[in-house]
Amino acid sequence: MPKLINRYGVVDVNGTDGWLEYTGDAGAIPAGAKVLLPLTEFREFSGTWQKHVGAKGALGVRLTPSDDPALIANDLDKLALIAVEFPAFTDGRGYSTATLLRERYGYKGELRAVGDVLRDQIFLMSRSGFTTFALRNDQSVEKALAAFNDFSSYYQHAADRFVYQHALPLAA
Amino acid sequence: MYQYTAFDQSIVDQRVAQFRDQTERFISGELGGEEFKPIRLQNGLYVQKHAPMLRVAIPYGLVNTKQVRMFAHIAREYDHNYAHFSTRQNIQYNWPELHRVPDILAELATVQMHAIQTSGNCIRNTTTDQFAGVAPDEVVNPLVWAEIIRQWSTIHPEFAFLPRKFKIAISGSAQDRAATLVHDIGLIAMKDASGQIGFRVAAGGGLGRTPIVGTVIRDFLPWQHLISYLEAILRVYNRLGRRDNKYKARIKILVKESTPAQFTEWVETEFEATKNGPQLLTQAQVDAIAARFTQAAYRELPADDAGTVTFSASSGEFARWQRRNVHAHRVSGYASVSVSLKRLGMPPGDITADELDAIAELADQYTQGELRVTHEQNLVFADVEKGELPALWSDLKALGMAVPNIGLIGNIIACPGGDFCDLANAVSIPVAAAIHERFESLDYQFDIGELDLNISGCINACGHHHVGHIGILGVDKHDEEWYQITIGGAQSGMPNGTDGGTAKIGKIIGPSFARAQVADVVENLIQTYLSLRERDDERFVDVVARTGIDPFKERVYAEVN
Ligand code: SF4
Repeated sequence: MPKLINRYGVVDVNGTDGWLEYTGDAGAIPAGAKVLLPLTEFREFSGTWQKHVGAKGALGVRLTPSDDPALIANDLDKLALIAVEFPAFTDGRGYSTATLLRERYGYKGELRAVGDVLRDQIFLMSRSGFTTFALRNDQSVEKALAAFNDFSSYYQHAADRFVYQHALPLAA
Repeated sequence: MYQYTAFDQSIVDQRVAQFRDQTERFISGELGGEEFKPIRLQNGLYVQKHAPMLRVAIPYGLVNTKQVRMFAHIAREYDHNYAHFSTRQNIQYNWPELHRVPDILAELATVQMHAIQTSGNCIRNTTTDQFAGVAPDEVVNPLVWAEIIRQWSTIHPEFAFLPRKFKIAISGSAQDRAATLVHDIGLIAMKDASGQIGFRVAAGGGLGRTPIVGTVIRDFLPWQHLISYLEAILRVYNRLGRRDNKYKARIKILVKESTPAQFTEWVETEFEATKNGPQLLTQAQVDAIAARFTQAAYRELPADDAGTVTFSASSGEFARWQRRNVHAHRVSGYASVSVSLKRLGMPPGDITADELDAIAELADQYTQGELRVTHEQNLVFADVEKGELPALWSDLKALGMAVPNIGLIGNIIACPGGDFCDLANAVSIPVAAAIHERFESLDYQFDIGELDLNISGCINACGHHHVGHIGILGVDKHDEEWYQITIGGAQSGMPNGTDGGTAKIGKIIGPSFARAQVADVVENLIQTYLSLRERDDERFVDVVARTGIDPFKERVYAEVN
């Protein structure tokens, strides 16, 4: 199981923080659960799911790199989690997905990087607006936590300004 | 020259620390080769034939003498006593040892230099006109804008893993000396009718496997929006650029396959949504960055120096150097001087540690301690008093560095090719040497007149062969080195179209040639040109434009067969 961290520490050693992945079997998801849906399923059944999980449950969407975040722009207030997949750490599309969600569509909730999430990209992911990180199995939690401090300062605005405060020379 | 703030310094220092840790983790086996690869590339480090190659950025080509001395020191301490200037305003070392690279980067950081993003699938070093700030035909000085782009693009979190490399070039004068139209983004800084500064924005140009001249997607972008517009382009490219095929991953393929109109619409939509966000530049920000550039102090001088005029009349050798290597300056009584690194017996763009020190010495003596590095792999002294030209010439001559071949066939641009580069199909340097030898006579070179001859060892086109008046490309035929020849390319044109327009991609003249034939073929091309030209000032490339490639082709293949 990948370990789930945020910049302050370990969120869940089991990597899910209680979220259940929808695998095509709705019966496996109990009422009141937190359920993470692929984009298509979310769009087709979002009303049904809301009823299914009820007031105590929560909905999340899992986006692949080619999914257009514009498609959930109007549903952001229904979502407690958006997970963005990195099928390979060299696939940088997720950074723009995160930026669009924060900057353009104003998503304020938890944004989770999943997949090939490695120590050396965490700083960039964090700056792009991700708040939780499901580390690849072989990654050291301790080193990953150190990565948030790779740089104490940055030149440019990025989507993390919706999450953290900082001052930049190009923003003076 | 831009002077670092404490903030700038802290970024490069932290980058060195980060890379030192990453290198140690790689050496200890904790970090795998695949994972280390993009990291080392984004710190300038390639794995080459003999050893790693380290590419150090010379942001927009400006360098001071302290930095040049550091180049010499690194060449001595960590390399084989020489370095190579590339075609992208970078300097390269061919023999560093991996475990010492963090030390090299730490030494560079002490003189405000770095190797950040000189390679890899990210925004690379922004290039510009080597005469930026001193050219008489300049409309807008591009240097401050180039520095703004440098800062914005440095460790930009969203664009560190693009589909492919991304190159931005900017020019601010009537003649586009930065070849902006063959870059992923090409910017021409200009002024509108009210005097407001803005940019003409072109996208999707590039050389390599599919050479394409960029499409202008914005005629005038007010300067305040520079960053948000660049981000809009990069975001569209990052999301939609192809990642399934390395050879189709550059932005030019996206622009072409989606059509320039569709691509422009995507960019404009993205831009509309973000243009008044926090990326909006303010006058105060621009002024603050501009204020960190050192300003040359000019004396009041007459337009011409009487002593130099007299000397020029008496020394044909000096006059010749003056004609080719001395360039007009916007300030009366000053000139810019090119130091050609195209010397017989030396690979194009190579320079020894001792020469670097000697050049730094001369730059301190004859300029205000600054130099420029050109995409033609030469150096420029930008602020020389005309009265000092004879003395500078004779000092350069003593170093063997007063070669008067700027703009001539001897000024060959060549990539390192098969002697160093892993990707090469064929060698470049020995071909450059053979051609240089063939055209050794300066009288002959002057008679031929302006001619750009560019050589790349493979289709990656680091030697910009497509835009050479004569371009030579190394190709692999049954494991042998062959060379394909193009003619009629041009690296730039006037933005207002007065010289027929734009960058041009050369045309292939026919089947490729064996290495031993190349110098003969070039000779035949030149002889054909000389027999066809109607006036002395009709250049090779003008004749090709007038007659087409057929007469050249016929002659060359008639001789070969
Ligand atoms: S053009 Fe090819 S051979 Fe030459 S340096 Fe570039 S990659 Fe290497």
